[in-house]
Amino acid sequence: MFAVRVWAASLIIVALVLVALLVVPGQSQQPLFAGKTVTIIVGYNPGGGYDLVARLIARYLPKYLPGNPAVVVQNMPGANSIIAANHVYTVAKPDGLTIAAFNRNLILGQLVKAPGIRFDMTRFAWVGSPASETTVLTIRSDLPYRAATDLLKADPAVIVGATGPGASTYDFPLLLKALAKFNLRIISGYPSSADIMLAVERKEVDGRAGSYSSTKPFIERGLVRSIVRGRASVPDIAQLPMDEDLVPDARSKAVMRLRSAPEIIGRPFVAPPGTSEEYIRAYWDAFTKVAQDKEFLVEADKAGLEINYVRGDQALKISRDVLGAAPDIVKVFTQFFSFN
Amino acid sequence: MLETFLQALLEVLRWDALSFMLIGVVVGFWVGLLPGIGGATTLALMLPFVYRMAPVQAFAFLLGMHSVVSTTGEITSILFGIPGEATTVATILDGHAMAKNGQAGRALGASLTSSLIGAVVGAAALALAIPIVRPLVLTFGSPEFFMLAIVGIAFIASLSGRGPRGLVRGFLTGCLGLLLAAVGQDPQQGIQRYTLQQLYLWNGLDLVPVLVGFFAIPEIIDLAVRGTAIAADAPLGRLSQVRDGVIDAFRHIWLIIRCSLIGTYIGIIPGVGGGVAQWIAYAHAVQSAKTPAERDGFGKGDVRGVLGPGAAVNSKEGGALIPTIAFGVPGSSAMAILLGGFFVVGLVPGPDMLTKHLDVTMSMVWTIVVANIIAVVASFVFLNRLARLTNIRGALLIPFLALLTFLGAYTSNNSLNDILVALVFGSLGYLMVRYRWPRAPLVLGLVLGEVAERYLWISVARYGSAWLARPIVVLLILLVVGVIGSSLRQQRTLPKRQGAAGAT
Amino acid sequence: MQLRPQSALAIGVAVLAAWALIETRGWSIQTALYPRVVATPLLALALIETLLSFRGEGPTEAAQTMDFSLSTSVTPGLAQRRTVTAFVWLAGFFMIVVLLGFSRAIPLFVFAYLKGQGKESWTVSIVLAALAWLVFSLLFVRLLHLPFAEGLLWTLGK
Repeated sequence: MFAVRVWAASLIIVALVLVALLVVPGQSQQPLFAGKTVTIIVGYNPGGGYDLVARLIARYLPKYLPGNPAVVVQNMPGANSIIAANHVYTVAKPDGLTIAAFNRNLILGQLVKAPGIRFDMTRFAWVGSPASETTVLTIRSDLPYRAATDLLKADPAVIVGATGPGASTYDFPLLLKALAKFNLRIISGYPSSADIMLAVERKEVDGRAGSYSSTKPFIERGLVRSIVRGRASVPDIAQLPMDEDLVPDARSKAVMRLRSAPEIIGRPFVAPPGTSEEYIRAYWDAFTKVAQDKEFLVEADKAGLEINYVRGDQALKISRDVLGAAPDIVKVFTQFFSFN
Repeated sequence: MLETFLQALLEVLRWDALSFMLIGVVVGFWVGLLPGIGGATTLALMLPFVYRMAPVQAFAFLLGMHSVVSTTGEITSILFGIPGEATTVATILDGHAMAKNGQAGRALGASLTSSLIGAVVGAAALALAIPIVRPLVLTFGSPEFFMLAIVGIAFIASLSGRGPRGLVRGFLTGCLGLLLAAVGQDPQQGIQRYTLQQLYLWNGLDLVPVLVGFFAIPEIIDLAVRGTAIAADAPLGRLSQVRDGVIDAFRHIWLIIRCSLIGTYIGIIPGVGGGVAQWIAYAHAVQSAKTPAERDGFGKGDVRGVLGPGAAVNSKEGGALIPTIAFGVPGSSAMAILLGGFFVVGLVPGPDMLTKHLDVTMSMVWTIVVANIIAVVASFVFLNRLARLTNIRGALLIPFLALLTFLGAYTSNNSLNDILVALVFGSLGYLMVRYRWPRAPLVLGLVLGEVAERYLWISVARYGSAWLARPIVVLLILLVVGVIGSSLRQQRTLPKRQGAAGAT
Repeated sequence: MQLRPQSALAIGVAVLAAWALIETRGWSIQTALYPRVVATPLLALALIETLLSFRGEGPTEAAQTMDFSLSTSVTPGLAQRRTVTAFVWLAGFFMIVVLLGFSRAIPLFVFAYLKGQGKESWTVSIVLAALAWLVFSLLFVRLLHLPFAEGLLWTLGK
């Protein structure tokens, strides 16, 4: 009798196990980022646009990355974000858990062979850029200049305030003055673009070039009006003349286009070279979805960002195009811009 | 307008705004206290939580946090000689000296009370100035900013100490500071200056690691040498009480009010920088000494050396709000983040903030006042106990002080290089203290050098030589002459001790 | 007239100023003006201070500076030794932070200093070291997510 009961018990147990195996689905592959933490390394300190974008992305990314990891932001400022870019290129592990956000103009720095650069933009594993940056030249509203051509014959010269070489506040009007022959006087050395706006308001300078998003509050307030824009555009300023259209020869156009090239990848995000395809595609997918998330768009709009996700492969192509510019164009470009 | 003023106060005292402010105050309290956690970084971290709050609540939180940081930053400056924030360095000179004399409690009481009064006076000056603030700020252009930097540099004379040797050394260290400010890319053409091929130095020397090392390390070394507790020089081993400090504050109320006004107006003018207000207030306190013997007492534990900077640092925060609110031009990185907060809740900084949205501006002013009152009152509860830390064996404290110093230096840029900078300047600071070279002028030079250079070039490029004839510039030139003149006059009298000692 | 240690500091600054001036050769006027305007008086003042320092200084000069004075409660010989020791500890802390990373360096340093230099008991040393590490991990790493490098010994191994 006892033996039968043991038999019966074993059969029942085996049966239960078989049922369990059939009914409960087999343990599938763990989601890619489950239980991990993604780190975004930003090349600037808090308070600036790049940090703001990174932190905003960091809040929405967990929702769309498989496994819903935590995403944290770390600041690694220095040398206009060259330090962060170098770090992610040489030191960071390509384990898919680190991405970097740095200055969009670093590609131009690589082009002109700026000192201290130890990366090659085309070898990063590109995640892409969620936002573009448009550059506009704005003039104080009480001045009589409205059309771009007015600035050709402006008298006295229109005074434009700038922060220093390497920033759009300086570079954009420089080309307009040198190539399009606008009658501008560039006064450089202001600590920040916000200080330039204050100088505009007290009539020390007449205008400022810079990102449209940072100038928008002042345009809406009626302090300044936009006159010329760079290549990248948003609906608000699409009807403005483009700087390239204001120069006659192909070489000048090419130089201006080179300056504008990074604007469409306004907020570059990359992963270290050698990061596996699987992770990169997960990021592409997540960024695409974040850029369509309603709440994200509302917050981005409040922060004045121009959301326009350029996927990693597209961004890489643009970078390659920039670096492949014709040598004579690069030579002229370098005369104007050194990243020193 | 009085109506709006009072109504804004009621808005701030409503329970939901108040509770957010309390949370902000608690966070800000620890941020200010611990070197290594900066106000700006924390503001940036908190910003996401702000997205879903209504404007008054959001600013109650952000401002509550921000206003308190400078107040509590003085606590570590006084107790340990480690600057809790870059704005509380001047407090170390006399505040920590008082701690060594066993008067930490008194210094803490004096500093917090003067901070509170400074915040209140600053807020009041702000509210009263609102009608004239826009024209006031707009009258100050680049030439005026340059002259303001020169005025600040002129105060180096007052901070040098007395006598010909004192003056020589004061200007020596001042020029050294000015030269150190040149490290980095030049503001006009972006050429690298003195960067020794190091990427790290492209943006110049960062203030926080320099200050932390410069002031904290000599104190740590000295503590190690003495082998005693911090308050070893206390007579009869008795510690003073916090309320003595409060009484001191009210005894010197006019000094505090003057320094508060200095802080507020320096804060209102964007461009000159907050690191300066504390030193100018300190120099002003020194100038208020009536006899040469009194003047000698500064740096060795004169309570006025704590009252002045304490008042200015807090009132400066209120003043710095103005360019941020009225012009959208942030006066500091913390303000830049606050500005981000503006956009998040849908407010546009500009003239509207002083007219259509005056209530929001007023509620911000009140938030600063109320937050400070809460922070100070709460601190008083355990200040006396905090002061007892100065009785602990030095050897127990030293590793923690070193830790705070290293973290304070590291976290400004998350770079180990900053610790190296702190050590280098720590060694320099030690040598300077040993050979009696004043440190304050070097700090002033470092802080003001870049401002002076930028605005000088802009002025010349924009106005040619005509900028020298602008009315405010002329006034400021006279002020510079006045400042240097009055400190030279005070310099001339040397103590007669040498003669007396020789006679006996 | 004798060469004192204080002269060394003044001479050092003079050399620095001279170097700064030499570096400005070849810079454009805009870049070079400010450093030259500042380094020239610096050089002059440093040389004056060097000469003055040869004369030595009495108590009146010592009282003139508004800054704290190093304590004199300990004999100069002992003070010298303790100063050097303190600097060595600080430099050592920096080295182990670089080699081992903050997270490991902190409890190690606190323990080593308390036990080795402070001659505290085992309990006190261990407890305080653990406390330091705990506060650091919770506040700076877990809460603030500040980046702290691993330490050279780890990264060099790759």
